[in-house]
Amino acid sequence: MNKESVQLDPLIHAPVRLAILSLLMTVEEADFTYLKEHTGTTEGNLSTHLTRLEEGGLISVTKTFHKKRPKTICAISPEGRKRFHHYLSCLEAILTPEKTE
Amino acid sequence: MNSHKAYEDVQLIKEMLSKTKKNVMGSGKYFALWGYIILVAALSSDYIASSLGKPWVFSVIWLGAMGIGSLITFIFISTDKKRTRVKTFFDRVGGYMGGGFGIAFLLSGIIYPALGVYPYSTIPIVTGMIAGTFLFITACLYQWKFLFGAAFIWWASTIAASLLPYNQRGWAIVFALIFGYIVPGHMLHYKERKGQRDE
Repeated sequence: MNKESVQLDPLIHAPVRLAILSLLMTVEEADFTYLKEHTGTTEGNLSTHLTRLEEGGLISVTKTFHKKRPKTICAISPEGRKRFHHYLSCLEAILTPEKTE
Repeated sequence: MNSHKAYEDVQLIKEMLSKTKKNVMGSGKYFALWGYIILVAALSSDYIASSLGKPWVFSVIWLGAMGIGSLITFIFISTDKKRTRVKTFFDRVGGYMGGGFGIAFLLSGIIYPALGVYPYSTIPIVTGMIAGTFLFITACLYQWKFLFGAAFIWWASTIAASLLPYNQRGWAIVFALIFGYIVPGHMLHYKERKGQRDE
């Protein structure tokens, strides 16, 4: 992968969305509160980013109720996992020093 | 994109990954629960079976203990499931492992001796060896170093038990239960609570 030609996925390339996907990569599922606490963002901001990730097919969002209170559960999709791996490859390409012949 | 921004992204990913590593679903509670149940069952079965002179009472007490333990575990899991905010892959693997080893304990501790595969006096050695293996795999899976020590306590106790007269073998297992199961269970529970407070 050429350093100059590396194009980072614009859907992932935002700190909050990258943080969300990083968290979801290592768990089966996480709820809204967990993501809010660990990403350190506001509810409104998190909600916006989750919607964008869901619309892009990177995560699945399930809304349920627990003790009459809404509960939002998020999980990364196979597509999201694939694109996250590709994103990591791109970062690796950028950070790996180019070999001089 | 410059390397500095890429480096920041990598740091962010690393930070998030380290946060999820802390997630375990209250395992210490289950360790301590089963430790106490087995301890009570071991002491009472040993005393009652030997005083009555009826080995089958031993199996009845252990079956009862496993039934009560499973029921309480099921209630705990159901409550935790409702409360939990994150479910990790380790939770799933840990659950499967607990179930698998539970069956192994049932077979080796109750079914095989009842079928006459080996005498009742061999139970502490076989079940102790399985308990050590369970703790060793758990230690590897969750990277809880102190559980490696607990596994070795169990294995050492089974060797000690095999060297003791068979009517005293239970004491080696009682020792292993306290220092290789109940104490680590409480340590784990304390660590989890401390981790939750620190977050």
